[in-house]
Amino acid sequence: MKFQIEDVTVYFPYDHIYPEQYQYMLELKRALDARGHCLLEMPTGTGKTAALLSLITSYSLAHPSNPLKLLYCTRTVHEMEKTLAELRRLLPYLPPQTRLLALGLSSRKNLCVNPAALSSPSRDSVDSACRRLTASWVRSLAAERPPGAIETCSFFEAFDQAASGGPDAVMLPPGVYTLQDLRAIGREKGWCPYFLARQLIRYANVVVYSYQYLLDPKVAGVISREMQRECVVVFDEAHNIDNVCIEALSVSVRKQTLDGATRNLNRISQEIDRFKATDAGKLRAEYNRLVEGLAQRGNLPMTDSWLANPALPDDILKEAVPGNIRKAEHFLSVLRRLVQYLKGRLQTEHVETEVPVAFVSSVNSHAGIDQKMLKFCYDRLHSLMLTLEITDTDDFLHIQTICDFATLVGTYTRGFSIIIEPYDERMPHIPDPVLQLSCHDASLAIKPVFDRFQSVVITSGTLSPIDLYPRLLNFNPVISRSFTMSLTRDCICPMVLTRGSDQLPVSTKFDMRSDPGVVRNYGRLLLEMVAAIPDGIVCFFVSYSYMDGIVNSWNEMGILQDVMQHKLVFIETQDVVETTLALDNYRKACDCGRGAVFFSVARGKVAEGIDFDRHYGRLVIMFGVPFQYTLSRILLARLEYLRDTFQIKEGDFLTFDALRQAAQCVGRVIRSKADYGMMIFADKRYSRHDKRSKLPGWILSHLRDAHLNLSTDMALHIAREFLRRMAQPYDKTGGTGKKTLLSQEDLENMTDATLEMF
Amino acid sequence: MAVVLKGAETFIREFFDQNPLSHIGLVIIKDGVAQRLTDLGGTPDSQIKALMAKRECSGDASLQNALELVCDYLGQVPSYGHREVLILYSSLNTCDPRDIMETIEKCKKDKIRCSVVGLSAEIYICKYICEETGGSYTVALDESHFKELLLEHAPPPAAIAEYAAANLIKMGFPQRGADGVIAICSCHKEAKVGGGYTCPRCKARVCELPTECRLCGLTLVSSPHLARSYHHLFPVTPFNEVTSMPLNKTLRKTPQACFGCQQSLGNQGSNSVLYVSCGKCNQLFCLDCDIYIHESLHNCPGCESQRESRSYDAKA
Repeated sequence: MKFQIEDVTVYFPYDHIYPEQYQYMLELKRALDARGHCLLEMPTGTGKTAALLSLITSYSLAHPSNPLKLLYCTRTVHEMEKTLAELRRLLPYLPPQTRLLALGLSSRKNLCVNPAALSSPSRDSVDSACRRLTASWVRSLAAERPPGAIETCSFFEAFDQAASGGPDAVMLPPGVYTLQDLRAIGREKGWCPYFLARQLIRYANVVVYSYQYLLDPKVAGVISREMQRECVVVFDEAHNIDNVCIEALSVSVRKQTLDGATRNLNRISQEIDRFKATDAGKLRAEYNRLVEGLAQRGNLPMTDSWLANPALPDDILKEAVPGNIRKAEHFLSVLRRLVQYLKGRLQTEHVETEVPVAFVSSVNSHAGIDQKMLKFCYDRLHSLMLTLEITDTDDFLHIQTICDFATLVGTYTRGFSIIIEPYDERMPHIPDPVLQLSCHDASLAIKPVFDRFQSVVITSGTLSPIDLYPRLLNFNPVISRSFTMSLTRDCICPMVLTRGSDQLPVSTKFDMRSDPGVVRNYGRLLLEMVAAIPDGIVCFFVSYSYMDGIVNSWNEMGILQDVMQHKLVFIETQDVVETTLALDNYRKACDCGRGAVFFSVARGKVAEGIDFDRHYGRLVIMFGVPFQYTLSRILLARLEYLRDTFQIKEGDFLTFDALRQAAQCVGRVIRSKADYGMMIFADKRYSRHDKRSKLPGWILSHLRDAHLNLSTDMALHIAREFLRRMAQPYDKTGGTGKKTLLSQEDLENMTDATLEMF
Repeated sequence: MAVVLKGAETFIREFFDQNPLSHIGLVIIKDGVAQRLTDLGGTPDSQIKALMAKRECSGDASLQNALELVCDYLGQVPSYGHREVLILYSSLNTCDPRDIMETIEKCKKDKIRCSVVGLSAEIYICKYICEETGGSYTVALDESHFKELLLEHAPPPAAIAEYAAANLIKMGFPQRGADGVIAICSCHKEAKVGGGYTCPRCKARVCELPTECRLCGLTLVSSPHLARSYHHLFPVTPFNEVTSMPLNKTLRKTPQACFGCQQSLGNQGSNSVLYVSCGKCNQLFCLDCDIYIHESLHNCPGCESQRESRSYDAKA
């Protein structure tokens, strides 16, 4: 269908549109007009992606003089594919003369078609296998030697050949290319899909890739450097964006890392000796280059480009590398001293927390390395490894981590802290020293994105409370709005359960969680529910250790056995393979009618990325409030920083974080309007206003007062009623009174006045 | 439980009322196995009696076992019959020995149509079965809604051409015995006075229709039964409304009585009364008879009598 939003003709790939989608587009369009950033919350299952894509492509069609480029960031490869599929649906609805090029970009692991490189197990080893085949010196060596003597990648050679005829030679016809399409094209034409995609993103109208390509300065420096300002950046499912930002700038160093780094250093020193004997000129050339300035990455061939500096582009000094690390041997000894120093720090018996300034001065006094040297560590290492022509980069991850750490510590004085823990809090007898450089300020990593691009759209199903995000990320959105879902029927049924069947309160509060009464009440709740609810049930616990504990006690009480009578039980573990297997079997059990319960953990992999739509999740029970582990040093340091810098109270932030996790968990069950599901928040603390009000609007609007303070038997009664009601056939378009699906005519008839009603 | 049994009883009666020629068999699913309660049979009373004797429930339910059993039974049904399963399902899960999907495929191949009336909540597998085999899936809200849903299943679905292979079946149309005649009834094995029907082949006596003759095994039906069973296939065409205007003109020529009930259509001089005529035989009927013919008789008496007289003419 086609309709007007103010002055833009919007092409929409479906015959009907939800009113909230229309609203969403309207707000988005205003944000684009204002060239500002926006923050939009809309419940899952309302077609966010479709609305976003169709509006932004239509918008750039309407302004042909100033074409917008869309950078769409997703969290997983799976979501990437879904987004591209949605875009493909849109394509036939656009006017025929449109030339739209859209593609996904992922790591080599997902794009490589070379069987030799692809057989490597991890992402890093695929990268380094690729480098072994395509690095410039390997290729030039291969060109000198007789063919076959040195292995190269035929796909890259073919691509390079084609690309040498100018960028047009490797242009693909307009269209939508998923990762799979790119691989297929790569196989067919014999071109390397990864480098093809890298080449194409400069010309594409829509690029779908992962968060890291924009947020992690190491990757962003290589991939997204050339994006122009006229870009719309979309962060989808962005409720955890602050954590992604923080992770991008945090480094943790363990004992193994340091040992590995020592090995790496030995290897490097051997290489240096070898080079001295054979090719001393190269080292001299490097030295001269370093005198002039930083390693000139711009002139390097594409295949040699490395992960860029971990610090943000603005913070890198454009000056020459300090003299005392210019020579390879000197630099090596600096690194050795640094590793030695870190080893010494790790041997501490107590938990230590330090700010970077103090740390740097201590490094200076103990190891004789000043701040400037630290700052240049990463680039210096990079340059050295290029000079030494080292291709198996995955072996050198350890020393890279150390240099990462050094550079960050040297660059930033605020927003970071260094925490050394000699052992894990939960297992104090096992020494597992870890040194963490943790970033507290999410705005650091995302700042360049906000500065560089014209519009940044942050959107998710759960962004409540919406006013906290601008503070955390330190930006000014021109529009921030939360939309609710228009429903034909009350297809979600949130409940707050505060008491067990014996009327005693239930909670996972620290002093109550191990109380056998609470454990039993939770068990009774689950038992009653498995007997009353068909197909799949998902339970979320606050942490792995709590889940282990409670499942154990249920087992002893015999509750688990009773549950098994009704449904099979599956448990998420920290092992990805095991969890995937459990999920598969869970789905199977739901499919064949046996019914199943899945025990999972809030903040776990399942809570973030797996959908339990339709019969896979008719009910989700959130046992407790998923607060973060409040005794964690990192969290404490971050809370302190937030309070000092952004005036966000500790309690506020903790509740906000816990509630967004809870909302994220329960949001797993509803993925479309035709679906239905129940949500039980089983903790007495949810009934308090300060907690409850932080839930997203679309859940709150269905949370009736009568469902606020329930005991198990009342919840059971409501559940039965709800399930019967939901099983009745219903009319998709909604009754006469409230339209939830708008056709083209409806939209044309609609005036702004009626729109305000929604 | 009582509600379900009551519902099932009403259903069985209604079912036979609507499809007198059909047979029904009962299967109970409990404790993980499916039990055959009654064989496929035609008399409602014996079915209900058997059902009432088994009023209990326990253990896990297994849809797969039930469907397997049903497949075996219905496999013997000749191809002209509809094979239908109606499942009243109160459990929320099914405990199956093997892959239920295979069983569903088998049902599909055997053209068995499964419908489920759920008692508590929507279950995915039931929905899947119904979708695959072309049945319907409903969930009851309360007792009255349950009955309503159940009775919706009583009238048979319209015949599907590919399923209904035409072939001839032997059937007897027994005559009703005169009142006051004493004869030994073959079904109760005792002498009975009056009523009763006589099998046209072996002259045995039965009390109720439709049934099978105990002696020669001939299917005994009456014509209205047949019509009632097949009216879904061959409905009586709607009658045309005749206004009072032509009534006045043809006043003298046509007999002014309803062909059905023989009452005068003039209705005490008021002209406003509507009446209808059959498009084929042009007989007139009053509105009451119209309703009766279309909703329960499913035969037009006018057409039937014409056909009879025509065949008599041919004989003479």
